[in-house]
Amino acid sequence: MKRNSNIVSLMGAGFVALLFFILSSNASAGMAVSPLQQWVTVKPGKQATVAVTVTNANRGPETRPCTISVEVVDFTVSPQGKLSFVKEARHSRSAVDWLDFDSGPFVLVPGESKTLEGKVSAPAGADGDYWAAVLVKLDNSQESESGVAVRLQTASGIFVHVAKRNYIERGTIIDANIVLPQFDNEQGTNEESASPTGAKNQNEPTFKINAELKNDGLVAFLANGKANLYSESWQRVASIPLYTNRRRIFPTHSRCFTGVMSQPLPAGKYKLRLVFEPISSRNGGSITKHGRKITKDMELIINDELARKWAENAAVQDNQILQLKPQELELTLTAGRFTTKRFQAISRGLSTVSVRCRIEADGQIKDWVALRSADFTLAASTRRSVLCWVRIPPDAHPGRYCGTICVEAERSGLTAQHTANVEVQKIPISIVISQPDKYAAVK
Amino acid sequence: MKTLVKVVSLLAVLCLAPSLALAADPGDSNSTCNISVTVNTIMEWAGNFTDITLTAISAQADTPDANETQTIYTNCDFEISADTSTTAQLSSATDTLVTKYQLSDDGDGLADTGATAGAEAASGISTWTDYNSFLGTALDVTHVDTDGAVDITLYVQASNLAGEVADAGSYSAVQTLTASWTSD
Repeated sequence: MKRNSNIVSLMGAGFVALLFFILSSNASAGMAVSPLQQWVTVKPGKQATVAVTVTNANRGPETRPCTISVEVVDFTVSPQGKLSFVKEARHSRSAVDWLDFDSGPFVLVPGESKTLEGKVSAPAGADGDYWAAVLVKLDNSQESESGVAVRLQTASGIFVHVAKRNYIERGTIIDANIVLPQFDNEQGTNEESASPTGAKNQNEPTFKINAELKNDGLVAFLANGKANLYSESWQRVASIPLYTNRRRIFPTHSRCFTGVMSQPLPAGKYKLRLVFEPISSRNGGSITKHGRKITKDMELIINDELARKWAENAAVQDNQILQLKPQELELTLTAGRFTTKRFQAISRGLSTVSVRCRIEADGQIKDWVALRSADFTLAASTRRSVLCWVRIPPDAHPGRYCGTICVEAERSGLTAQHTANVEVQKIPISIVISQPDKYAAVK
Repeated sequence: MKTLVKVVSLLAVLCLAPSLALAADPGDSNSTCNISVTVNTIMEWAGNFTDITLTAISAQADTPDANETQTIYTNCDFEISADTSTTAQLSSATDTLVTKYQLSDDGDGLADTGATAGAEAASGISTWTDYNSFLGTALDVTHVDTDGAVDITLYVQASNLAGEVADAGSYSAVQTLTASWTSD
């Protein structure tokens, strides 16, 4: 009898161990980080605060406590737009030494949230924009003797603007080159060219312009670029929007832009003017002012042979440059509500496309709807979301309010009249303000 | 006596505050309270990846691979990059293995949160890439309204160097995936 009891005890212990193993293998300990980037303005010699919130979201009984550690690091952005986080190689505009964060480690139980407050202390001699990143690391205590252990971390960018005076965005074009279409004698197409996204350009002959813009100023800016092609007598014959991965260029950094045009050029001598327009933007979205233009002039010749082959191999351009999804925005809201809605702009051609969006409406709706990042360039066959912020005032009367979002897309290339190759589309936006149900809470 | 007291009290109320006594039901009254909140950008790893264990290499030409999946919850666009240092290469005390990675996601960046075909092609996530150039171009993940989750799968492949056999023993590596902000 006693022996049977021991067997039952052993089986019970085994079952509990097995259950623990199963549960622990399915258990999760996650980490949410917010925000992913933030801007802070501070005066020289003064302090400001920044905060990053870390949460272990409770996603059910399998959620376990998680251990979080924090590290303040430098980062650089390569000319191609790649972020690199570095501990040791600090640069002249690093804000790492100014940031004071509690590095942890912290243990967060399921459902617990912790706001990590950091102090930014700007030295008296600081001037302009500085930056650093907070790496929030999800500790993984599992140590495997063989195989690959995967560590997860989230980087939150911190951009510090030291407001010492008024700043002017300054930049120079430090490199530029033109890549003419090259044709294989056998197949009549270029072989190795690739789109800015890295995707093969489907063997379509394209004219490509590469330019590198350097920020020589003390503050970051967003850059819009365009290459205008002129005849010998300076009559504009084509324009080519320039695309880059990350438009925000920090002081001392440079960024590569590429413009692609698939439409063939006739033989002749051309002048090419690269034009960049720096846009001041310190809060992550709202465009405040346009800076002075940065230009560079070049020349090129399209000979008869190249023009003939290019025309023979030119792709038939789709009539529609840009596809918009959805093609209509409808919202039903109550007074006082704030929400967001997105639509996507999808480039359908083989060339780069410049896109400008704006709200068109009479009356109140114009003040209620705002677009973020409404001015951008798309590489061939890429897409981008445009965010609409909708804020209904508390005293808005019930009813239907309408307006439109006007989307102007300018494609690389020529027009018969030598005017901009612009296509305009409109997205109707309809906001229905419903009568608030005063008993909704009671129901 | 009690009835008399009640009648006198009622008369007193009527005399002193007739409007109060005869007032109609005041009904509901509306009041307005403005409430506003800002939702910041959020990026959440739902949990740690389980360690990726590969089957043993028993012949020179063996190329075992394995994968693990984890979910990311988000309300914004972000990018994923990887560690390209030797930490991400499978190594033992005496030798190293050819270590290659791939990544995939379950969205298309149009109907669901995920990487668009162009972003996937640019980062080359769907081809086996050596550890030192894996995600050389970070993978851009596009957030789509109404879909806040994307599943990320990491694949690892190990092999011997061509024409060689690595030393016997256990090989391990640590891969770090970093999620970071995207620019305008």
